Amino acid sequence: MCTASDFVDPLFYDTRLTKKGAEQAASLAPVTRFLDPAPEVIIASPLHRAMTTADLAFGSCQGIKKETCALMRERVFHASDVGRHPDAIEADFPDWCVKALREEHAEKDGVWWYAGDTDGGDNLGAAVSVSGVVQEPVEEVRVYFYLRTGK
Amino acid sequence: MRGAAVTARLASYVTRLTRGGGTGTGTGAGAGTARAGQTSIDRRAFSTTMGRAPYVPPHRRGSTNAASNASNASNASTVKTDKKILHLVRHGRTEMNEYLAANRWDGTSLFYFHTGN
Repeated sequence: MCTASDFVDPLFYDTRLTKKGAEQAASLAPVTRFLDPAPEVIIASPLHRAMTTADLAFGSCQGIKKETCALMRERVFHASDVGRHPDAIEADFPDWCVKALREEHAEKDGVWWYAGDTDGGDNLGAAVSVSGVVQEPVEEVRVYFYLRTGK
Repeated sequence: MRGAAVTARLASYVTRLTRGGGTGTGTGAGAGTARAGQTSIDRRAFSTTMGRAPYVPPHRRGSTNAASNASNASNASTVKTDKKILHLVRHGRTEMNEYLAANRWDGTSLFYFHTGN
């Protein structure tokens, strides 16, 4: 088994679904189609794999708002967990709302993923431990949904 | 909203958060969200899975507790509440998943690496 010191990150930035992964996601479509009550909104991490999965899984659900939320993202273990600029996301997923993502991370030039501490920088290839900043967002997620469902 | 990631992996299992005058988590709460029995269409749809147990949305999951059954039955006609159901869906298999499967990585060593222990 590899350890963090000898593991080689393949640098699959914002990793994509495999064919099997796409099939897995699409297999949910017959289920989501009959959800009752029908979904009001689909919220996904801005990571490509999450948004693609959502599109495939809820492909048969028409007219549902789709939003990205950085709070849904995974912590950065590898390059595969590094996201892309909101402009690039919007280009690939034009029917998704990235307005909030863009606005909330404007001061960081659209960098919504964890990019390392300011003193240490990113450390791709060796994995970035963000244990200290993982727990706190859980409460933020709760608040997000509370506010979101209150709209 | 700042902060880093929450490991909210889109999951192939389903759970829910319910809200009724506040926030709540868990899979057991949700009085008032119970539904009457599934229709034939429901059963057909929910039998589609990814090789796992048939999917049943949380609000359709019955209780083996008699009291709960009675409560659910009485609530079945009053399903219009302000409760929200959150379906969590895990993302499909990725290229990185494939790589990790072929190059087993001991994620637990991550913390040793960074803390110097």
